[in-house]
Formats: sequence, structure tokens, C-alpha cells
Amino acid sequence: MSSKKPVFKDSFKEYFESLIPGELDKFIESCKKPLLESIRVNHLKISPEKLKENLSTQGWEFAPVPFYGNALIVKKRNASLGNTLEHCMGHYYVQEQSSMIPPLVLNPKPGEVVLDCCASPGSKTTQMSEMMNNEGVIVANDMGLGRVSILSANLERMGSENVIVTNGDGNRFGKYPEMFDKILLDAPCTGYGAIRKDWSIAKMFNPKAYRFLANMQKELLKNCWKALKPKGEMVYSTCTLTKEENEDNISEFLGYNPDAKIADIALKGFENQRGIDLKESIRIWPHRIDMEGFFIAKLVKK
Amino acid sequence: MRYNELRKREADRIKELLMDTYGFEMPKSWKLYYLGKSKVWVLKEEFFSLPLEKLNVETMGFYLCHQEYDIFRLSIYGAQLVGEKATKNVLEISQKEAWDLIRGFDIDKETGMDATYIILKSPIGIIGVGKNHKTKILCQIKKNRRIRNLN
Repeated sequence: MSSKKPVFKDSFKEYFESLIPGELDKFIESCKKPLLESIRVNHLKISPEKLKENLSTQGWEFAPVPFYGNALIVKKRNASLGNTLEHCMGHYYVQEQSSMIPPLVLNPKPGEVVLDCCASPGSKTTQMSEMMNNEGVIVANDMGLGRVSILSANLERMGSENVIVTNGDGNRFGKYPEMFDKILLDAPCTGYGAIRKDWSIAKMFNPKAYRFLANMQKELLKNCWKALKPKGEMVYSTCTLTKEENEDNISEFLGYNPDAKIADIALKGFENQRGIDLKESIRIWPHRIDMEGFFIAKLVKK
Repeated sequence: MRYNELRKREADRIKELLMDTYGFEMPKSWKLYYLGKSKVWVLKEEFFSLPLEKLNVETMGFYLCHQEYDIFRLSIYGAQLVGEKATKNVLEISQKEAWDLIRGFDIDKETGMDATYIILKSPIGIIGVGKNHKTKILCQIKKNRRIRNLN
């Protein structure tokens, strides 16, 4: 944790009380709890059973992730998650459970051309590459050059062969109409869903920040949409919990784009984790389900 | 990023080195490209259906090996792919030796092998290549892939 004690400003409390009346205390308590540790097994290199067996002999203990057979919750370990031979060899990726959901919802298939617009550090890119069995193409873009290096290192470690790493503003994909079968837009956000990982995020709560980022996300949505083929699918996700960056963005986008419709996300275990006034989407509140806060919506082009 | 397809002669040389050094037959589907001066990458045919020149590409496909003059060194992932089917110059090492290498240490071990770079196979899997000094194996794992501390 980067901050010794979480600080929740009055403006933070007021804002979230308005979104979840009567649940604020539970929400704040959940933000103080550390996240469950989870890993995603790289089935291109090893089966979940074999990895479990290898690490169990070293004293590790696991619990299953109910919605994803390739992932494991780490209940007990004897080394940092990133300090094992298995990690170095790309047998697993340390990834929070919520972050595994957007690729599962997008469900990329072998042979498809996929854009991962804001890809670094590559948890979702490597997951999609695995799901595609290294067949087809993923364009994994990120704006920061330093972030692109981290992305490339993770792709190499995980053995993702079908990825083109690009560097630049994701909005430029608007210049390439109908290029992609599927798009994952895991947009830059205020990250209030990740407070359990970094308490200092709570201290930074600021309406100006989420309004600024919401505008940035709108632009990305608009431009990525242009790059999507007809009948194509796009998943929009963030690790934040403001309505402005999530449901409001999607609702506004649907209002302006008659060729877009929202698809209902049917994922086992998340039937009751729905967006605010947007029942097709998923919104994960950390006090309702023991994960990082997240928002996921799926859009389909007519 | 500049990428240039290897000339037939250069690609044949890689193919030959893989066969001679590791007894590995390079798959026909591998399209070899230089990304930079001496790093050989394997790219997919499908990549070229996209306007690569406009996308500001940093890397693509996977890094197979470094090849320059007489240096031919497989990447970690290259060693993992080649090592699965290699018939020679693959050395079995213990888990402890793998740990030493992954932490950046060289290990003392008789190799009995001729290749300059040998594939190292631990009980968990292939961890990359090491430089063969007959009685010593020099760590070739890049600093950013090493484990720095054990906690």
C-alpha cells in the first residue's frame, strides 16, 4: 500500500452516498480491505492443474475463480507472486479477478482482428492472445512509450505471438474505418475501483479529474467505434466507479450512435452486479463482490 | 520501428543454424524479419493485411533470436519453442541451478556439449539459453527478466 491510512474526503463520501444510498459505510470498509490475490494460468504453456501441482509442492494453496477455470485465487504462498520461476517462465500472470472479465465478455476468437486500445501492461492482451490460441491478430496500443516497453516484456514472457504493439494516441484508430472485428477499450480512468490496491487513489478524489477523463473516454469511444467493422463488437471497461466515466458515457454514446446497441452481458455469478440505470452492463462494487471495482459494457455495431 | 524481411540466404542460414545446433526443423510458417539490426523476429502473414506503416509499430510477433556474424542466441521464448522439439544441446539442470540462473548467477556444471549457447531445461520447463564454457554456464537472462530478491 502506498498510503499508510486511507483518507476518504467528504466529497468522496457525498459522491458515493448519492450512487449507493445506505451502503457507503460498507463500501468504505471494503476499500480498506486488501484484494484477494489471483493469477491467470497461461494455458499456452501449462495447464491449470499442472501449475497448481507445481506450486502446491512449494506450499502454495489455491481456491478456484468461480467464473473462469483458467484462473486461481492464491490463498497461501511462500514467495511474492512475481518472484517465482513459474512467473519468470510465463506460466502465469498476476491479474485481479475483475480485470479478467472484459476479455471474457469480448470473447475474441482465433483468426479475428482485434484492437486492444489502451493495452499496457498487457494483462488483457495476453489473456486475449491465449483465448485466440495465438491465431489472428491483436493490435495492442498504448500511448506511453515506457508503458509500451512493459507491455512488450509481458507479451514476450507469456509467449503471445499474434500481437502487434503500437505506440500512440488511441484516437488515431478513428482514421482506419472498419478495420477490426472486435475492440477492447479499457479506457484510462480515475481508478477509484482500485483503491484496495492503492489507498492514495481515494485521497485524489476530484470531480474535475473524473469529468476530464470522461471527456477523454468519450473521444476514445467515438474513434474506436469508427474502427469497428459492421456486426463487430466492442467492450468498454474501466476500473473506476464514477457514473460519469461509465454508464453516462455509454448512455450518451448510444444516444448519438444509431448504429450501436448495447448487448446484455450474461456472465455466471454477475447476474446481480448491474450498472446504474444500464442493466445490460456489469458494475462491480467491492463491498458487494470481493473484487476490484470495475465497469464493463458490451456494444454491438449494427 | 523498421522491419525488414530476411533475405532468402539469411533465412536459410537461421534455418540451418537451428537444425545444426539443436536438431530443430524450423516450421515453414515462420516468416523471419529483422526488427532493428540483429534481432530476428517471427511475424505472422496476417499482420501484413493491416496498414503497418501508419500504425507506429513498436514490436510484433515474437523475438526468436539474436543473430549477428557468428553470434546466434535464442531468446527465452525462442528457446522454449525450439527446446520442446530439440534433439541436441539441451542440458537438464536442477531447480536450484535454475534459481541461480534466474537470479543472474553463473553455474558450475560440466556440459559435455559443443554449442556456444545451450538450451537449459529445468524440472519446471525451459528457462532460456546459457553460454557454454564447458565447466561453467554463464547466465544469459536479461536483467529485466531476473528475480532480484526472494521475498
